[in-house]
Amino acid sequence: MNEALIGFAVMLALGFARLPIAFAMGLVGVAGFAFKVSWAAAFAMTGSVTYETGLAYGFSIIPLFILMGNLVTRAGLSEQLYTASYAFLGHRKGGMAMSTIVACGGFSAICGSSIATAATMAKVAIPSMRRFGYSDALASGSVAAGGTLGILIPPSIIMVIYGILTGQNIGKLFIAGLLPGVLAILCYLVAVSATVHFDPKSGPRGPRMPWPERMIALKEVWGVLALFALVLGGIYGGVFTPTEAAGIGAGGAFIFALVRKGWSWRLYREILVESAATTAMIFSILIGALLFANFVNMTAMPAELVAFTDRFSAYPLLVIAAICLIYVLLGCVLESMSMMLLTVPLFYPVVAHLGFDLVWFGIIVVVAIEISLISPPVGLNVFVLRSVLTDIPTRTIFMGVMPFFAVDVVRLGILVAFPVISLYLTQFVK
Amino acid sequence: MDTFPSVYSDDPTLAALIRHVGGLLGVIAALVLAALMLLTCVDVLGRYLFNHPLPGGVELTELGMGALIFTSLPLVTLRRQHVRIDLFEVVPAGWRAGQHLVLDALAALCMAVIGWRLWLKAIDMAQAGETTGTLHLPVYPLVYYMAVMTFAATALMILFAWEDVRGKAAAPAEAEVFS
Repeated sequence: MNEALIGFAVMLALGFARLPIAFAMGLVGVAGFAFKVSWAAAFAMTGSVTYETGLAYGFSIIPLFILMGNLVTRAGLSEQLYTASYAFLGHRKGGMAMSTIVACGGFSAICGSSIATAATMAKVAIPSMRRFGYSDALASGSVAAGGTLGILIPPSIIMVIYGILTGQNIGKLFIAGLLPGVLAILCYLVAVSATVHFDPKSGPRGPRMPWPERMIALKEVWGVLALFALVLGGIYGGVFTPTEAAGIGAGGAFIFALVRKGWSWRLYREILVESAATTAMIFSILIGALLFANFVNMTAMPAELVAFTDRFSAYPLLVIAAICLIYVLLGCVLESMSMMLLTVPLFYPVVAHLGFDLVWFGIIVVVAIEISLISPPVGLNVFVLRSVLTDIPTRTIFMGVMPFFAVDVVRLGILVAFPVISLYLTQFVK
Repeated sequence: MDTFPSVYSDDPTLAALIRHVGGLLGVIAALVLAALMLLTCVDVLGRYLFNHPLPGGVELTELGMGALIFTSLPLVTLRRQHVRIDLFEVVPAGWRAGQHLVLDALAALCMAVIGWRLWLKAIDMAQAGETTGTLHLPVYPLVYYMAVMTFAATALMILFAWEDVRGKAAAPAEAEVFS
């Protein structure tokens, strides 16, 4: 156990000294493996892990979903989503913040990234909320929180990586995220209502839209619905695998972008290069984390962790609660993808050993990561908003996020207590 | 090309070379990714519409993934987009140049090892005459390409380290993060 802990400490130290996290994990992983076995074996392991991770058919799901997300982001679907949800909710107290939440939920259904969802919706929703006199705190808080839906509502890059790490069916994970996603939207709507209840000035009513106008606005979002139905329906009905769904989704998003923005080599080159660069970043981290995991598996730590948690087998939920706490705390310092890659290989054998469903645990991990995305001091979504809206202080955004943070904790509790919310729909997956 | 900052070196020939190679790699990566997308679509459509999936679709995707990831590796390095923990500065300001030198050297070392192992793998595969299952494509040229791309990223890191020594390196761009 000691060697693994020293490995973690050295890796974190290198990371805090600003070595790119992929190299910090890889370096410690290979050196640790060499220490436990031999340098020859460690180098051989490096070669095979790199080769097998780089040339894996199943991993093509990652660049293709990234591409799909980038295509819909550039196609400008976010405006229509916001207009449509505003048409239905705008006349309520805090209605524009509610519209933001619903529009974020809709965008999450075609984009697998929280950061992209927050950044895209910020540009659309925040200027109009400010124009109508919404407080900066509520406006930015609702976008930061709504953005976290990106990784919960399928498709989701984080869920793909979780599925790869734990050998779970990615289709089932996606479907499992649906009801928790709806629950999340409802919780956030409650948070908005509570905020405007205590501070009515923070979110005034907008004008009420007549029904004909509402229907027109609703018709504009058919593209989002079509893309979502294509990808999720295809997976749900067993028409294609999640990996194929990613390619089909990217193709659909490409046609969409073509119809809306027309052809421009420069635009599509930019989108493709951006997606390729993100892919290489993710795979660097993935390879680094796998090297590190191979080292940790050479130590006694995984077995000792299982033995340790066995003592709590009478109260298995205590272990889950401890893991959730670890995630929220670690999320304060680590970027979410690295955090998941480092911890899930250690935790999932424990969770499986205690008899929990790993699809359900995947949803719990994703929701814990969502919380870490908006919690101070380094909630990533908050910093994304800071970079998009330079005139809102970080403090204000964190203040605005607090009601959402509170309902997030309640939501995590609900999902832990009622696994059926996550698992009910998965039984119908073909 | 416009997507890349223009100056990585004050030597104009070297800067121009890096810019052109960066632009070219971007185009290759873009085309490979677009091909991966088309490949999946054609495969699935073929299966349902013509009852005939694309022969070798899976192995073409595998080869495409290798090409995509390793073409993009020097690009990410060039843009200094590798994800770092940007929480706080642990190193006093006076030592910043030394810190960057050590970090860039460590990163170069990591990539050099990866490139070296891929190169050996390519030699093995060429000798064993390994080919893909359906289309019987030789895999070793791609593995050589992956090794070369990794060495290119290594060379960039060494260049950065050299610029650090001279105190000229641009501060690493804010890491782009995803989740």
